[in-house]
Amino acid sequence: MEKFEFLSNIIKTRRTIRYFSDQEISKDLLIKIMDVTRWIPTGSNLQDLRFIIVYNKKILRLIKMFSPGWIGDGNSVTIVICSDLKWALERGGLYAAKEMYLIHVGIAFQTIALLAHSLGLGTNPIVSFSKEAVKTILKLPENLEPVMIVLIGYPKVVPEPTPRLPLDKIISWVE
Amino acid sequence: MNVRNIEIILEFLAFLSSSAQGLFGEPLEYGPLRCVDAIRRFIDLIFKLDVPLDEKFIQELKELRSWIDKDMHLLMYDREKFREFVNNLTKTLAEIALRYLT
Repeated sequence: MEKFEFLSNIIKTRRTIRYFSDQEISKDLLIKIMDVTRWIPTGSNLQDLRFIIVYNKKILRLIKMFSPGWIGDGNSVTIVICSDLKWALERGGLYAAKEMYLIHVGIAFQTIALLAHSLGLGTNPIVSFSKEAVKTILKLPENLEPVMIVLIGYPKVVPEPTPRLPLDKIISWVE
Repeated sequence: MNVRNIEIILEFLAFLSSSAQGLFGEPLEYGPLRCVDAIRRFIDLIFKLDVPLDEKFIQELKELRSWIDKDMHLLMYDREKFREFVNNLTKTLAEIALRYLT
């Protein structure tokens, strides 16, 4: 029960952070987070995700320019979550390369977000960005599909929680 | 060549262009959201380019920017309140236009 309470608290107090402080994020912290994230489950143990961690300020600025969903400011590092679609297709088949990789990205983001939150960091997942522009800026090979940009940094403003649907609206029982 | 000014202009154009690209597949309300964000970013552009303007008008732009910064996030909490905000923003701009241009 203690573990449940601890994890529930981490999940319920996580927020999407748009305004970050100027504090630098150490590479050690990011390595710590990513070293756990590599343990996420993937269908057929596909492990198709590749994470590009961008520290370079000029590159970050360019990515931000082509990301309308990047609202806010402050110092953050960006993790571009990509799927290697060639790898996914070869090892997981059509379903893996068309749908399953998106599920993997979702699992990866939630894992990163919760780990970051447990370390006092905030995250912001962004899917409103131009894939073509980000591929060009990062010089990504054809097989890598950028799916989500995750900003990660120290929160400056923590927003109020957004509303949640009640439990009886989202679950039904088959007894 | 003034690289800083080029960067400021490209930043705004990239926002508009990538918004247009993304909006083909995004929720309906993201259209108004991106337009409102474009107003905010355009005000930033004016300040960054140091466009010579009346002091009182600059102050009004600053207030508009703060207002947008605060209320554009309403979309994530209450879509009806967001719609009200967009209506009021347009009404306020019309009032400003009326004062300056008549």
